[in-house]
Amino acid sequence: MKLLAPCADPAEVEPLLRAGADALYCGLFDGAWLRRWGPAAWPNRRGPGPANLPGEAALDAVVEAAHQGGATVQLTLNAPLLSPDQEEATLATADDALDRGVDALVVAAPHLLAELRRRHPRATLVASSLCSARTPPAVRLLAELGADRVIAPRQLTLDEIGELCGAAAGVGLEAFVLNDACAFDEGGCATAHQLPGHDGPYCLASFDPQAGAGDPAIAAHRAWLDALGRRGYTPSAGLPLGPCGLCALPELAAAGVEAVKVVGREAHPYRKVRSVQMVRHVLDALRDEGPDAARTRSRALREDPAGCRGGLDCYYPEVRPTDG
Amino acid sequence: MTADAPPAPAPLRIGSSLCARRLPTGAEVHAAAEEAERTDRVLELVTPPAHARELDRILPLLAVLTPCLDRSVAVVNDLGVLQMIREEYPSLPMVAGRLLNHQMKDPRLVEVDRSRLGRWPPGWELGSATSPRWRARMGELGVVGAELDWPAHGLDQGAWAATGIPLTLHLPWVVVAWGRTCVARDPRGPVDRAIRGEDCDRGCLDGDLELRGHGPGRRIRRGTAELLRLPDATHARARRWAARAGIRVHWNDPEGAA
Repeated sequence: MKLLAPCADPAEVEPLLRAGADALYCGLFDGAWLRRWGPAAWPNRRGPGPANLPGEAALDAVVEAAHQGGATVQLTLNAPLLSPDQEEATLATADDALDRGVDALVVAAPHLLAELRRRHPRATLVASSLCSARTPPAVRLLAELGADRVIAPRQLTLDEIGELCGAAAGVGLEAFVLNDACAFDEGGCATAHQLPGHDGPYCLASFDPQAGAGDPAIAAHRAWLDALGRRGYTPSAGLPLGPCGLCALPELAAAGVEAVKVVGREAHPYRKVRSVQMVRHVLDALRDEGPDAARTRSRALREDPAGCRGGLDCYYPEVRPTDG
Repeated sequence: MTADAPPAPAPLRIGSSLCARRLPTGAEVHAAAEEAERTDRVLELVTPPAHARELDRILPLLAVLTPCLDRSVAVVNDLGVLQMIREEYPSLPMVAGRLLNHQMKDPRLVEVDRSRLGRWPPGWELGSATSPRWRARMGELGVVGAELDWPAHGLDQGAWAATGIPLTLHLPWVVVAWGRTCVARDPRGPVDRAIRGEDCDRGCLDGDLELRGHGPGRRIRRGTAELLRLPDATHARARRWAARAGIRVHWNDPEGAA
């Protein structure tokens, strides 16, 4: 099982590969796009700034460094909505990126996926989690449109992910394993993560503190939202303590998931590197010592047994520890 | 249609675009199909985003439509449902629901200082269905129309009117975000309990969670979705546009926002 890491700067490539990444994914928000459509129209799921590479020169540098290190590079073109002229620009970016040696393209719109397959029969195309492939028929449809790989939405259970693996011949599956999560399905969200004059995503900022007071289920939901909004590090080891699926790595590997993904292109390089180290540490344990050792190491890494038992930070709460 | 022809009767609509808990039973779909035939109306079966168990619930409902596929339409909000219909009932026409026809609908957009954006992003007033590429590809898959919301910040009315496909505008409730995790259940609980209709003992019918401001209109969290109720003036403007453009309006409610 490969480990995919976010990258937003050529200088991050070497540390990420040294930390254990097998492949990188990055986004591009270049000056031409910015001048034409401004900072609020995004070519992928992140805006201008630290999440994206600023131009082709940086992309070239990432590709060169990654290939020298034996890693592949995915370019995210996963804006959920583009105007017709933005679609044309995105297709041109895709054409150019493949010429520059990018190994795979991540696409959210089914019609652009099909168009890219028509243009580039041999390119590796990845259906973004924004495609919301929840079931085997959805994977079959995306395969028909041209996907070689599908990224499982975050809200799937391990059993459901297992059903997606092998749903279509030759289509591999990627799954999230560390860092960001969301209260809503990405493919079902119609909001902007960052707007001038506003802080944070709408879904987290909009709750009234008194809403649903006294209702246990809603209180649990509120606690979950609070956990999603938390972005901390453990005080002792400086490791990320956000949403996590580390202890499910044995199940994901057994299901046939081809790659697991660390989220957070916009994150500080330190957080990215430490995240990759955590996943690599558990993957190595899984390979060398087996599933039980992998689970033990993953929980030891987090140094938060109560949090692990609580499950609010779990991508896959069905395998969280239930003992003391 | 000639100028003298009477307008087509509004379709008979059943189902939910937001939650499998609100899907009808087979008997209810059967009764609706009979009613649609008796009143010479098209039957629209509205389907929500679906995981595996929900596909199992939707498939028998489609089977009920078998005798009347020629006067039925499925509203789909999920690529898996779309593909299942292609595979099992290829002659059943489909309409892309509001979760497949992506739009920007963040209520905060009405507060954004447009001068700080450089240019108002064109995509924010469009949607998937305004893309000719999208319409061509989805048409090949059996999708013949689309449903849309009117965002609080407005639409590019010309672009929508020019799509050339049947559109249904939902008013006055707008879907802002949808998620699997219902607000009425503990997110750490067994995931199948709340998503299997027969096991949902809470549902979303206990009431709404009122959300904070951000622009005009009422905002609530109900069940799986965050919804915005357009203010009256915006709603009236949207209705006028729909009437001028010949676009059907569906008066929805937060119950199912169907």
